[in-house]
Amino acid sequence: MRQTMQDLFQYVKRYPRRFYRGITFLVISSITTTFAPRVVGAAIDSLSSGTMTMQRVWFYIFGVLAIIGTAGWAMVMVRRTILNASWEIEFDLRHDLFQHFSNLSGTYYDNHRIGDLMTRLTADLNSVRMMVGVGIFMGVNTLLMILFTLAQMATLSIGLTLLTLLIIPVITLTFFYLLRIIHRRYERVQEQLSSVSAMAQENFSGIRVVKGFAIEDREMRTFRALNDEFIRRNLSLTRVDGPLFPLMEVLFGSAISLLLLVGGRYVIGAGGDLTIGGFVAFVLLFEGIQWPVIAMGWIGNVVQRGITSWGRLKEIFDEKPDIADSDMTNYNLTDIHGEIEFRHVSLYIDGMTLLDDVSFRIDAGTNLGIAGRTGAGKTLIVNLLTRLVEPSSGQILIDGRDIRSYPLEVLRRHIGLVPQEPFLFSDTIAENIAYGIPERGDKDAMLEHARDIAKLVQLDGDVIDFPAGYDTSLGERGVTLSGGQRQRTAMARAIIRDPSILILDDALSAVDTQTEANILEGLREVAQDRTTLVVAHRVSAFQHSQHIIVLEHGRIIEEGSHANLIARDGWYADMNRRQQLEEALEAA
Amino acid sequence: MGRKARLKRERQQQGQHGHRHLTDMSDTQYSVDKAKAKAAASRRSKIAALRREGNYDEDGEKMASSFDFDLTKRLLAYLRPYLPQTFGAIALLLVYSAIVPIFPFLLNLAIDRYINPTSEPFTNLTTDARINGLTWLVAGYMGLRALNFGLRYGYTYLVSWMGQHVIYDIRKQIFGKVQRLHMGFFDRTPVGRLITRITSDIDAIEMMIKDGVVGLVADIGLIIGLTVYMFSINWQLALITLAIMPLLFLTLNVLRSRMRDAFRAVSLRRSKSNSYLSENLSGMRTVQLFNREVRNQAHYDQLNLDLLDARLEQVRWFSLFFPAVQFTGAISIALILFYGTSQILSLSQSAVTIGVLTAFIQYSFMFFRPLQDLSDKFNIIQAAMASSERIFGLLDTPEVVRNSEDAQLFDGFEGEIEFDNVSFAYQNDEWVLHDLSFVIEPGQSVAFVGHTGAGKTTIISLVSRFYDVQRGAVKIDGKDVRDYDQNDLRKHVGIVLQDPFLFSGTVASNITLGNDAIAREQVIEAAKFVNAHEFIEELPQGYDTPVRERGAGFSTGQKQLIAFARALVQNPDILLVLDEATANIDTETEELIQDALEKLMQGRTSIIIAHRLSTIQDVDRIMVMRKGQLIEQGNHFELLEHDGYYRKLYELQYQERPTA
Repeated sequence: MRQTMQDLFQYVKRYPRRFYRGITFLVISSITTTFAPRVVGAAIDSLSSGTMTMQRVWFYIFGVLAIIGTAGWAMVMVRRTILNASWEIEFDLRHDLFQHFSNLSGTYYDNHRIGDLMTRLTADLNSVRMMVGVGIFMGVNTLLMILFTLAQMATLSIGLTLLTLLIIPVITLTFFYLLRIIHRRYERVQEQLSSVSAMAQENFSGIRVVKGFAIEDREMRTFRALNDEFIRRNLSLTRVDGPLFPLMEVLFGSAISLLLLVGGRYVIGAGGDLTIGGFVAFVLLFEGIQWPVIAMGWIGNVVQRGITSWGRLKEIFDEKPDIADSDMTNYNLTDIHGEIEFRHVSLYIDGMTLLDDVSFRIDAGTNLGIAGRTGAGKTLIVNLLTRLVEPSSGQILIDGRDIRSYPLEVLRRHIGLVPQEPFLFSDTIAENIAYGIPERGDKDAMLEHARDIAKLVQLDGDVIDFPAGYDTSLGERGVTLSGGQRQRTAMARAIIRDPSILILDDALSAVDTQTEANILEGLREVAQDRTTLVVAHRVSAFQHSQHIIVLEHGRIIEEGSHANLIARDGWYADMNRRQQLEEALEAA
Repeated sequence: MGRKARLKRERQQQGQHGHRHLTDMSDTQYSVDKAKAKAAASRRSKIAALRREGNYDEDGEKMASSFDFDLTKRLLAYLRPYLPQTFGAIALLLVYSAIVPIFPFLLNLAIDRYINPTSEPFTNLTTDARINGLTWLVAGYMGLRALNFGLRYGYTYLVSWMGQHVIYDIRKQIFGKVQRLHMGFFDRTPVGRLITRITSDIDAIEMMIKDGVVGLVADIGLIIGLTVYMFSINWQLALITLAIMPLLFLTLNVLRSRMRDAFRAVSLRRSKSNSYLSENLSGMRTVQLFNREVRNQAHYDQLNLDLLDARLEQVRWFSLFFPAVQFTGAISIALILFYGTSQILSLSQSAVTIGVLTAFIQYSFMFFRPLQDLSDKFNIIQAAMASSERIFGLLDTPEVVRNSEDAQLFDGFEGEIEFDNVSFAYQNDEWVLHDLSFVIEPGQSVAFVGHTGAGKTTIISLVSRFYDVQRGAVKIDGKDVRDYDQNDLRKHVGIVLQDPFLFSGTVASNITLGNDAIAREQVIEAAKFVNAHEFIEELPQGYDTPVRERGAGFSTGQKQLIAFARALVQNPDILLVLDEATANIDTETEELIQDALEKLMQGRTSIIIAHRLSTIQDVDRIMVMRKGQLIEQGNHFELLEHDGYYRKLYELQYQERPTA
């Protein structure tokens, strides 16, 4: 609790003026608010005792208007200072979270389901924001309101004030516990609701199985059972949240009854002296703290939830990236030419040997082919080179230096990676291609540039057929690209960065051989002075490779030029024969 | 990113142009504080655009604002099964509304009769009699409070019960409808859209029933109740108190509509911000590889600053709401005081007493609540219109593949499958099968081979009647598949799909597909038969091992074996297997799969679409498809001798064997 307050205070204190001003306005608003019933009471006393005149009534009228006007104005200012600050704090939290997420490495994202993460994040951010904003504002407000009201009451009647003091905790605690139960049951309802939608989602996605096995009736029954439970939980929620307002009415009704009974006696003259105006003022004062008294119970819950949520956000903030710049990093390195060397590199994960003593060296500007079956470790070599993974033993050198001495930012700026299943963003095609180059003011120049590259990778012809050409959006609200189009977009995205090292990780698996040949030809022009790594299943992709390594179970089993490998008549030569046949078949 | 920053960056880049490596140095100059300050400076000027944004939904469609009578009627029809509850709730509500205005009146009586009596005969009462009378009055007050507690709780519960049951019915109806729709519908409707129907659209309708319709009745009931009481106590004061209400109503309406606009902008912008975050989390590797961290941070911040604009706009209007109510209350009090005073001063025996004044002050406050809510109710009802329109749209989708009138029950198939001049297209004129004819004898196993797009998968879909053919007929045991009951047909046709879909549940429930009539022994027997038993036993909880969504954690091969067991346990008369998996299945599992397949096909009519030619060597007949037509058929040896397309395919795969 204290830790949470300290942590969050770091955010609150960025907006000192707003919080000070807000609290000042809160004081003004609560003091003035509690004076209004006094004025009404005084007016009634004046009427009752016969001292009221038509001139004097104006005094009371303006009194009421001025007081409530001031209170209202102060309340407007309170909300505009404190609530606004709480939204700013939410912005700051989101900013800090994003920054933190940007630094976490791939393994974090492998171990967390993004959907779950998002659901938790949005809920937690909201609870924390509630605690900081509404919690502070309502908390201070209710405390002040109750304090000033009690003070006003005490000047009217000590006895009735003591009575009020007895009633308040009863009501507050009742609501605190009731609201807590409500929240728990509400969460259970939400849980069931997500089960219902998950079941529907599964049924809809697996509709072929459902229909194929004619199990619609059974699915209907399951769905109905889930919904029955949903109704049950909902009604159990209604049983506790239904009485919320009725209970409020009945509790305050009882309180008013008590006031009537005791206060009435005082006015009548049995056991105390209270004027009729004082009595009316008291009742109005009491009605004025109805909400604050309930709100206290509510704030208790908001704070509780806020603390839990902050704990969870803190867990995320405490997560450390496992690959980052370190004291090995030499920030003077800003350029990379592209000579690559693997020295006895091995990689073990969970006791499994994924790469076993891999060594090779290629000169800057050459083309290396990497062949092998699925799972042989080809992609791992790529991931090691981009430092998405660190080797368990051995060393990777670029231009003769340990890869870890390059700042991550520099390393990645000089490497263009085209993965087999590229992740494209729900933006326009042009923006996706230009993803890795600095933003330019000149949209047309950017488009022109993107288009040149798209032509190079045989993508232009596809794009111009789209409804909005290069401005066509991808994803849910736009077009869905085919596998081959995705790969070519990713390729354009990598090439446009003009990298020293270009890596094609099985990046042409989804395009046909003819397109592949065209792309490779185009690449040859731009690849002249850069190092190129080609991971592929098809021999045709290696036609420009000077050197080819073949991996099997994480080891290099064959290496050499295309001609060498064919002459060896091993795995590579075998693959070559198979593919020639396949081509013959395609042609048939 | 603002225009200035962009211009600045552009200038920097021009300086660097021509260098081989474009550096992103300008990215590091991004400052969140500057971005915030900039946003704050231009906040005012963006308000108009923000308000316009509120008029469009997420797809950029104009928000519906019309009230549709037919839709309402159709929606209200869902209340029909619950008429007793509906009327019960309304009755309780009306009694409650009639009692609520009594409380200020009782306070009025307490003051004027016992606490501060001003008229005969109460001025003559003794102190004891006054206290006695007050006690009785308070007892009555408490009694009515208790009664009202019961009434309000009762109607709240009934309304919630009703709302729950209505959405239960609608949800069930949608789900059932989806089960009956044909496969073509799913080919073009994203699952996400169907989920929205069953979740948020339904929520809107629940809101409408619970808060909208019933809330409207409650508010109007209360307004009428209060008006009646006020007029019967003192009609002049009632008129004076009500005089301010139209003004308040209009003010609140304006505030509400501003708040609603801001709120819509908030939800649009929030969902933008959240989906941007979600996308970045999913593609974080790409973000980092392309050094986009800073730029994406700037973009994300900008989205959140836009969100902040909308939030602050919301606060701006929201902050006025309650003070406006309070100030109107103050005006009411002032008016009541003024009129009351003038009455009391000018007449010796005035109808206006201190008790009446107190009661009216309370009435004016009680009037505010329903008035505040009223415009909100209309909004809720309006929102439900759009949702119900979408839901009814789904419910009204024609069911293309339907049971024929005279579909008869039957016990099972002999297993003869015939395609009689079948032509089929998924869409318009894009024919996938051309005039295809063949017959498969009962018990015969047949394999279809050919390239992707040759129409192999379609054949299986047509036997299961996932689609209806445009020309010709698919017949089983000489009878058109359209003349069978769909459920019966599919119950006797076992199907194994290419991407074996696992449901969340357990391994066993994935084999039985939730049919409790299938004993565990049968499950194990089937699993053993298809070589799945061994790996299932090795799982932490064996057959009861939980399966997560979509079978995450199981390899493709394992899923395939489970899918075989699933098909086998139904003991189908006809077996259809789609096994084109080029996926990463290790050699060992691959052998298990092949072995299982061979066993499965024994003694039943089977159609298999296989990638591995070794699997299909033993089938009775192989049909080679090309572009929707049959180009070769025969058994393995005949086709090899024929030296056609099949032989080439075979040679290709044969080459693959030694290394596989």
